[in-house]
Amino acid sequence: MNNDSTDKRAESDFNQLWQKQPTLKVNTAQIVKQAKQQRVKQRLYMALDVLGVLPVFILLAGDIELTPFLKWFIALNMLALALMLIHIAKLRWVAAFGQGKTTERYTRTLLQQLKNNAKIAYINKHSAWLALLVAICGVAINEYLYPKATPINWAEITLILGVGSIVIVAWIIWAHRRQMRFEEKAKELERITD
Amino acid sequence: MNEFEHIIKEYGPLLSRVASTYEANESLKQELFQEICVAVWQSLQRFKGDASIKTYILRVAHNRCITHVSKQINSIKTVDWQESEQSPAHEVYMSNSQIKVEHEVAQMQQLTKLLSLIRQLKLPARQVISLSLEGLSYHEIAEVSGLSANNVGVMIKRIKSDLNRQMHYEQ
Repeated sequence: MNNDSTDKRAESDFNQLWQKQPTLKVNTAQIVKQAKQQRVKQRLYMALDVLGVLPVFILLAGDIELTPFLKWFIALNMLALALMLIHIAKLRWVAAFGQGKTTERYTRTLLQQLKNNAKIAYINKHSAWLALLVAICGVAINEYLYPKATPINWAEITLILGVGSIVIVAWIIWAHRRQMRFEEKAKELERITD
Repeated sequence: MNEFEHIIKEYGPLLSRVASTYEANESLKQELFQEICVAVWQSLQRFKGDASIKTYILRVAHNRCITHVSKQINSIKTVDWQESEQSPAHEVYMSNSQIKVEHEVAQMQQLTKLLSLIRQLKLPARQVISLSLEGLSYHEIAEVSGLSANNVGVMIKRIKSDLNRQMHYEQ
């Protein structure tokens, strides 16, 4: 009984104390302006995501001389890109419109996104050297299937491979850091919500 | 006055306290409060009226705060509460009479301590206790958080008892 009344008094003290917090003011006109700008930005980013892959589609659909093998090769890469695009669109959708969910569901989605981003960074990391390897194999198979009369320019190939290797190393470092960052964020979010 | 202005006028202080629950640093708190208001404006267009507007904007506000917390991981660490929360008390000290000031400073210290203890809680507990201190029922808290009302009740009792013990521990 005594403990109960002490608890109730403490509860009421907490409530009173809580309500005494100094609160912040906000300029609603400024907020509306900011919100509208953000909405335009979100739409622009979504449009850019889609428009970004259009040139390759045009290249595929157009009359540019590509061997059937290269057309298939690019088409397969485009499929992977399209899947990535869907994932990015989903991320943007949740960021823009997913705020009305219950916090438990929202946190789960956020955590899943962080884990997915870490996975994407991991895939990006390995896709760099793998892409170079696939490209070399692609060109070699293409040369084998459709041999050209012109001799191979080894100097040009060495230059492309050299520059490509430097770009790939930088890409791998960037993707690895990104992967680590998302993994740490996911781990920490899991810890503070557990 | 449009709907958004009306909501901010009515629930602005409530949203500001939500920001305080997750952020101690004054400038980051102001930034977070603005982000919450922007998220509320954007979400109002999708409000279907299946919950009360208060619980709906509280959901939006807390979700925005969760995003804020997840962004803060590995970036700027939140400034220590003692450093950032001293200024309001100090300002009061400078502007009021001695007796009143002493009382207000004591109250401000209590509030600072309460906020600090709440910010040390894990996110679900932090959300539940702040909503409870805002006077929401177990059912309303469950609607915002996604936890069951029973679970909410158990959590609130345990957190309040812990807070009570810790608040009076140093006195």
